[in-house]
Amino acid sequence: MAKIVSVHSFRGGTGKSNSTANIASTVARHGHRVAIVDTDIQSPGIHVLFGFDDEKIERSLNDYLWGRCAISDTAYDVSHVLSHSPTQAGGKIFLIPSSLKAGEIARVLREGYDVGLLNDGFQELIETLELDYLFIDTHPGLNEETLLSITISDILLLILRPDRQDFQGTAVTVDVARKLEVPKMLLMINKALTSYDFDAMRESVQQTYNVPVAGIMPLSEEMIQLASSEVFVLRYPNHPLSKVIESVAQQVMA
Amino acid sequence: MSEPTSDFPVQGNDGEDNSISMIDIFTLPDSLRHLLSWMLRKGEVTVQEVAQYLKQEEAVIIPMLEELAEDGMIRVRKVGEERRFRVLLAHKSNRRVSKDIWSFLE
Repeated sequence: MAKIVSVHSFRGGTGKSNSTANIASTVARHGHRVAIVDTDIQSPGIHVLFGFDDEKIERSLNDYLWGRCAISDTAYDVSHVLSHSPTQAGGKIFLIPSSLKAGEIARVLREGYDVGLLNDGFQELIETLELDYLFIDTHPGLNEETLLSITISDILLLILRPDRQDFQGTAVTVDVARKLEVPKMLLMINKALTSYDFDAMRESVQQTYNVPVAGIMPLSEEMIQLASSEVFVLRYPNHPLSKVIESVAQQVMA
Repeated sequence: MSEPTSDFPVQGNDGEDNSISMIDIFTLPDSLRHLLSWMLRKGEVTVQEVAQYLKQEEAVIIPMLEELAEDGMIRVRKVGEERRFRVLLAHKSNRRVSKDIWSFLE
């Protein structure tokens, strides 16, 4: 049975899309069929990591939400990104991008969309693409769509930076997810300075939220230099950062 | 996907759309939020599945689901003799942004 994994953060700029792309790619490398849906319709971005620009996106999640096509028509097979790193047989990765066109973004802001349709679309994708994992890259903060993504998650992965604003916002999100009875929650701390004591940070955060810390990602010059042009774990599979991502992916798959 | 064939009203009796938003679900009493969150996660559920989940008799569950359908919070679809229920989420209509502000982008 497919698992829905929502990757969320209370604030923007935590590296949510980057983390989603890296974890989803790692799960796919383990031989699973994986899809990523970019539900950050107001500020889409994850497509960039898979080499897409607005010229290449012929059909997007927006087209499905406006009733122009089936959601499976908006799914791009981007498994070619896995070809340069060892991938177990059967590993596939699909991307459902959101539109980068200003008019499309404006329409969402002006008219909203049918959140129920989004939920139906997730189920349809799982069936049509025969998925093992559906990753939802969410818009930061709490709103109608993120509440839905949180509610329907089998696993909620919350990304936060070691920052007081992130800590407070994450506390709110954890409370919301508990109230909505999300079966499994994980935290991932991103952009931690290497001078920090990671073990102490992990223990402190786990105690504060009573949620396991799946991984702590150090602030990495190589990651910054890559500038979202590629998926980090596929470019640098043996990098220490990729080992942290592997550990997080293992906990998602557990 | 087959068309829903509802024998309960999809909307309230007064014709108004009473479908529920995620914010509404979040603010519901615990027992109802517990049920609707689970139903959202499952997608579509039968009377039997709800009864098993809530550990109650089907005779108790049926009128409860019928009342939720009457209220417009859930909808029902008949597949053969079986009734399947799902949460009816409201269309998100964000009217906080003026149409004029964005029209120049189109």
